[in-house]
Amino acid sequence: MSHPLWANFFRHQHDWIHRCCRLCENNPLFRGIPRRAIRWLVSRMHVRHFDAGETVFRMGDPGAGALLLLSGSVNIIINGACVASLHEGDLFGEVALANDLPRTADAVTASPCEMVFFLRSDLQEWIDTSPRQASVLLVNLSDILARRLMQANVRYEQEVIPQENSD
Amino acid sequence: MLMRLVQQPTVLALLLFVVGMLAVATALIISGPMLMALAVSSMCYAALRPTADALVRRGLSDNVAVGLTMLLMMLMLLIVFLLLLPMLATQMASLSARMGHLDEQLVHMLHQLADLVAQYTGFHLDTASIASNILASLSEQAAKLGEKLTGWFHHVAFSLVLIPLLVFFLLRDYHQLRNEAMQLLPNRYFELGWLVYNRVAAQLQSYVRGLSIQGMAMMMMCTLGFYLVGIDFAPMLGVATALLNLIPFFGISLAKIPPLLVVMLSDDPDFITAAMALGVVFFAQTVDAMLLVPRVVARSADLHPLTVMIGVALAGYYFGFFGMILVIPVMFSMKVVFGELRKGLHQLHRHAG
Repeated sequence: MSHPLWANFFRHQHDWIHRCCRLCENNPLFRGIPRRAIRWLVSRMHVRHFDAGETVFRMGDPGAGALLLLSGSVNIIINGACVASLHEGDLFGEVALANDLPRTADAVTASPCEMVFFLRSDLQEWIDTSPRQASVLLVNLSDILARRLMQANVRYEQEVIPQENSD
Repeated sequence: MLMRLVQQPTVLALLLFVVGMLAVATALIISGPMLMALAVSSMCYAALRPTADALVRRGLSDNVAVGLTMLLMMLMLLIVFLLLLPMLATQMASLSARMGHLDEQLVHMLHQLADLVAQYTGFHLDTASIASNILASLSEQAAKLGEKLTGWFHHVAFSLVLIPLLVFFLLRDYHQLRNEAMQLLPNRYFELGWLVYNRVAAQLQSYVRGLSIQGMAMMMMCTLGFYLVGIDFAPMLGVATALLNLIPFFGISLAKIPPLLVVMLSDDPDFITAAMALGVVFFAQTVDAMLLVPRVVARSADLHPLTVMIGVALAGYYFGFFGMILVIPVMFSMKVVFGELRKGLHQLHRHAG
C-alpha cells in the first residue's frame, strides 16, 4: 500500500497550506519573515470557500482578521461603487489585524473563491510566542496602513477638495 | 410573519443561544461520569499551556514541547506523591484512630461550652441530649458518606488514568479541534463566531487566573494561621479550606467545617481552640472578600448574587462539588455568548438591511 492510513495519521498536511505559504512569501505583509515562521503561521490560518456573488463582509461588520485570496477574485465596494478588484495572492481587511474596528468597505466575490482568514487572535498568539518575528510583521502592517492613509489623503486632496472649492 | 420574527437579531440570538445551551446541557449529561476528569484536565491544560508555549518559543516543535511538558508534569506529580504519600498516610491513620473517640470529645467540648454559657448567661444547656442528637445525625451522615466515598475512589482511580491522556491530547490537538469545530460555521457568521469565542476565552482565562490566585492566597493564609494557632494537619486543612472556599456563596460556611472537625478530633479539644480555628478562617475570608475577590475574581464574573445563589445550588444538586465550582464560569460564559451574539447579529442585520 502506498499510503497506509497510519502514514498520515500524525502528520496531516493540507494542499492549501503549501499554496498559502508560497503566496505569503510574496506578500509585503510577510516581508522579512523566515519561511519556517510563515509556515507555522499559515498552519494556524483558516481556509474558507465562497460561491460567486457571496458577501464576504459588509461595511460596518465586526472584523476578526485579514483575508488572503488563494483563488478567484473579490470586488471591494464602497457605497455601491467598485473601488478595487482583488485576485490570487491579494490580502485585504488588514485593518482588522490591528484593531477591532468595523469593516470599512463591502467585499463581494466575483467568482468562486478560496481564501484564508488570518485572525487577530492568531496574530496575538504569535506575538506571545515569537515577539521578535511578530514585530517585523507589525512593522510591515503599519507600513501598509500608513501608505493607504497617504493614498487616501492624496485622493482627498485631488478629488474632494477641488469639488468642494468649485461648489 | 414567523420567518420575519426569526430574522430579528435579538430573536435569532436567543434561538441560537437556546440551541447552543441545549447542546451544552446534553454534552454535560452525557459526560456526567467523566465530568471530574474533564474539569481537572481542562484546568491542567490551562496551567500547562504556558509551559508548552515557552518551549515552542525556544525553538522546539509542537510535539516535542507537549511531550516535554507532560514529562515535566509526571515527574513533578511523582515527586509530590513520593514526598506527600507517607505524610498523608500517617495523618490519615492518626485521624481514623481519633474518629473512635469522637463522641467523647464532642461531649467534652459541649461541657466546656455549657460551662461558659452558664457562667456568663446563667442558662443551662442539656449537653447529653444535644450530644446524642448530633451523634445520631453524624453516624447517619457517615454511613451515607462511606457509600459515596467507595464510589468516589473508583471514580478517582479511573480519572487518574484518564486525566494524563486527556491533558496530552488537549495540549497537542486543542487548537486543531477548536478550528475544525469553528469551520462548521457558515461563511457569514465565521468572523462573528471567532469574535464571540475570543471574548469568552479571554474572560474564562482571566477568571481561572483570578480563581487560582484566590485559592493559593487562601491556602497560604489558612495554613499559616492554623500552624500559628497550633492546630494539627495545618497544610492539609489549608488546602481543604481553600478548595471549599472556592465554592461560590456556600463556600463561606463550608470552609469552616474541616478546621472545626479537626479541633474536635484532637487529643485535647477545647472551645477556645475551636474559636481560634474559626477566627483564622474568618480572617482569611475577610482578606479574600475585601482584597482578592473585587480585584481578581468579581471583575471577570459580573453576575447578580441571586443568579449565583440559584446557579450554585442547582449545579451542586445535579453535578456535585465540581459543578459548584464550574457553574460561575459556565454562567458568565453564557452571558458573554448571548451578549456578543446579540451585538454581532445587530451589526450584521443593520448593515445587511
